[in-house]
Amino acid sequence: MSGAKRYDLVIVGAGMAGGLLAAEATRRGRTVALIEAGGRFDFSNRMAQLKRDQTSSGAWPYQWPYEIPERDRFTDSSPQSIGVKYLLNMHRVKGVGGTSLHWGGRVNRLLPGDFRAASLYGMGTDWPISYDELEPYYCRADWELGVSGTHNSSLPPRSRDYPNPGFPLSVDDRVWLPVAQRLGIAVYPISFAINSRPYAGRSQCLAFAACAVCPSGARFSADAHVARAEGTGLCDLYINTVARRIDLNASGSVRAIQVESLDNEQRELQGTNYVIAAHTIESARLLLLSNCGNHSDQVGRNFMEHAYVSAGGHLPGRRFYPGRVGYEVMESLSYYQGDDRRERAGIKLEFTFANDPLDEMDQHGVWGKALARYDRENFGHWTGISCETEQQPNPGSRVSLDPTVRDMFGDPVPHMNLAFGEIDRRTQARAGAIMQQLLWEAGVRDAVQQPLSSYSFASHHLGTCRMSDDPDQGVVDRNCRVHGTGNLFVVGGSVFPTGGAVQPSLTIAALSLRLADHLLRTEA
Amino acid sequence: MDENQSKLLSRRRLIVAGGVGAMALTALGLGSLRARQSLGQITDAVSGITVDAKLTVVAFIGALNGRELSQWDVTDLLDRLNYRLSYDAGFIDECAVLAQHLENFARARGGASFRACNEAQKDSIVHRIMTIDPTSLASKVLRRFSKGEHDYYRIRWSTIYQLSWIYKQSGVAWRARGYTRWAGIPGNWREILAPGAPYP
Repeated sequence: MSGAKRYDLVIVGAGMAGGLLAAEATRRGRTVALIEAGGRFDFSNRMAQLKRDQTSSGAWPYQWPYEIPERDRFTDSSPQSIGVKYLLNMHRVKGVGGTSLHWGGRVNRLLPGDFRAASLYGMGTDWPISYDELEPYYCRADWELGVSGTHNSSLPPRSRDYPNPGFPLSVDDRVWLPVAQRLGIAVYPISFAINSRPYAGRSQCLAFAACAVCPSGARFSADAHVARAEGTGLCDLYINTVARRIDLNASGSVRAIQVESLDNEQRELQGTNYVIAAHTIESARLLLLSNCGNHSDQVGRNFMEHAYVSAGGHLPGRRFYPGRVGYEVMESLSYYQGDDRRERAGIKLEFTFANDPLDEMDQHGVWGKALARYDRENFGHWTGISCETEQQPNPGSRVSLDPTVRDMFGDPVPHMNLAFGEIDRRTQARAGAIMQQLLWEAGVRDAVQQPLSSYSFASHHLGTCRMSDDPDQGVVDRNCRVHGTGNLFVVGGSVFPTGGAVQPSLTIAALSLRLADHLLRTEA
Repeated sequence: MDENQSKLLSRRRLIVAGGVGAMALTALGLGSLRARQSLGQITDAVSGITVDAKLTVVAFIGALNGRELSQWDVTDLLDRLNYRLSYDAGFIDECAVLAQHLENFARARGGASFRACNEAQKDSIVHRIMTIDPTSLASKVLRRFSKGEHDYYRIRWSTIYQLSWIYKQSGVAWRARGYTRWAGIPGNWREILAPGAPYP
């Protein structure tokens, strides 16, 4: 064992939550140990990364090749629950920057009603904090990430403008505008953590149309904040180092975190406060491995994702230009609430996506000249809509430990069981009906809804350590402190009591900044 | 000019320089490739597959997608194929096996090689491969005993899919659709505000 240094803050996970927290703490003069299971990617080589992505069938090990099977294995019983595998390692990245390395950069705030779902809609649970409490931190998160946005009356209230001008609706989006207007659907341009102009030392978007890699660096990823923390000289970053156990003393305070590097060097890291920000799955797993915070059997439960329900078809006489930039800019929250909201959960509409006729070689049995003809006749004439759907908290949808399978250190691996409840299925069915109506109104007569598959999920891992003032109903309190402990905190998507139907990254960032304030205030 | 603009321009210069460098390297590579045409059976030191075999696979990608490939197209696809092979050793064998079967099919149709086949012969070979049914009972039984059947299964189940992806992402596919810029080539995001070019 080595490492007698004592830090103000020991953080597990150098992704969105851990990176922002480390930057904020070091900015205010605190010492930080930042533990990251993955490595550090060489960002000078993003073009090679892009080329790798483009030649690899979109397979996840190649986009950001982080996966070490012996470290990252898991087991999965989701097929018994929802009929499809949950491909965990496709939905996350281990490395400095975490899963923010491969996100699309879309940022949304939860709606004020999301924080009061039980009170307003009789489903899910209320958050112990309100939208108003989190709002100032949403604003700070906007500026930390460099969000490009345009305020719109459909969106939640905000007290500060965006740091960068928003991206306007694209020519493809505008095809849908008259349809939306006819049906009374309010649409808005999405906000992105992608620079519409140079910001924070990063380029403006250069339209590489490869956001998952972003060769220009215009899209925010949390490695920027990790670098900022390191730049203060107050942050020690331990890469390729896995947190294996949290040691609690008799009074319920954390004494140290036991870590081990990939080359089996063991350390004990000690601090005043400890924050687990290791992504939803690994945060729960570490608490379970350490027997921390699980007195009411809540750790790992209420695991939630956002299932996408998508449909599309041909729109005669209209031309789309797919693939030019790589993202679409129009969304709607018109079905997020609505008259039937007590029957189903939130639905966010996303316009528009395109299929690629070349993908239909097998489906239509066309190849050679026939495929070239098929491409000419169909490319740019097909359009689709996606609905991001809210999943209700469900104790049976959970992450647990699988003692029959071990990782490279001999620890039980996470066992996934993503499960839908009746409300989730109703929400997905309602989303399908909404899309059929919209597509029909637009003039699409051959609309087809895509079946749920392993690729239908948004990579939004939520729940497992949920926030509740009641220790019997949650793992952390309103300040993200693990119930029953004095100096152990969890932050990230894992603490969400409900997930809404919007991208969670900005909320994760806001919660992290709020935790930084709390820690530094209480410490003072 | 502020610092950010300066950085942006520097980045653009870097990208342009990188592009020019890549073109130069490609040209050098092609020169070297031409020199090696007569030595086509020599195994490529980097990827462990012959240059002939890779060119056969590239020709197959063209035939599979109904495209007559220009020299620019061959260079683009070969570059992408080489890149894929450089980090995926398993795919080297898949491509080598595919190339071998393509040559066998070509000879069975009276051609000297797949690349030397006329359009009708190539179409016939593509049809032969694409009508392999890896899900049939016969295929499931036979591939346990027959290497050839196992090869067909892998070609149809995996190799075709991988090659289709490489084509779909390539400049060849996008140029055929009238695009002058595609994923990986920087530009101005404001172009999304106006219609693009029509399909040629």
